[in-house]
Amino acid sequence: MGLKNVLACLNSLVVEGIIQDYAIGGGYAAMYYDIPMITYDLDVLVVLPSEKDYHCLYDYFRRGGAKIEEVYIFIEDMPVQFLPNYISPLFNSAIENANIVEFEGLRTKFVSVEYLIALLLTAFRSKDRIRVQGLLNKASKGILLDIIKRFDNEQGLLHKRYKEVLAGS
Amino acid sequence: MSKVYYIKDTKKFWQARDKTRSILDGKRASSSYTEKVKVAEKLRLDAKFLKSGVIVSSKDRFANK
Repeated sequence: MGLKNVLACLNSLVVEGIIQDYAIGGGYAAMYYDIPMITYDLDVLVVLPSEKDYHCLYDYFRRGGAKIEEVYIFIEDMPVQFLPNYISPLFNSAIENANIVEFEGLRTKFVSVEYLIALLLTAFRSKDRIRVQGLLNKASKGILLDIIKRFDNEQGLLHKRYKEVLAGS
Repeated sequence: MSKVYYIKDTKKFWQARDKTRSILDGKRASSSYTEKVKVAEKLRLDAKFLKSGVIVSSKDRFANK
């Protein structure tokens, strides 16, 4: 099955030392915790020691003959985007605190629902707002507010967005 | 875990991401009906697979909350 093979591929990247760790976020994580919604790509947050290793990751797939379009690497016809942990402390913490989920004997990692909401509040496109609304009742408010407090910017943007979603739900 | 550093200028990264997403969205939107059905069926299968997942380990990260 396609998705299962993609998850197995992610695990093999860890085993081979191409990435140190990973966790799935984005639309597929939202689909795991909530109802299915349209999404095309798989967002994978990855732990990499440096930007050089990020390029090595793409080289690894390029050498293997994978189709690469802009930032997307196609694994089993699935456009996958790898989001390196050094981009944001929020990414890093989301990976560190991810849930281990088992599918038909295969273990993988998904960012927790609270981190997923925080990540969606960061992107905050129309579909992200809808996803946040669906996920809020599955999250611990205390944990979510703690994450927002720790990773918000000086303007309190994440908290403002969180309040905005609450007001609209 | 090795040393973690954070790049200060992430603008370029997000611009590339947004540009690529926009291109992909455009491709999907202009694809044929058959292609759209194929994507919808893939999503249905993926959603079914995802619903079979069970959390086996969760960090008790904020136990006091």
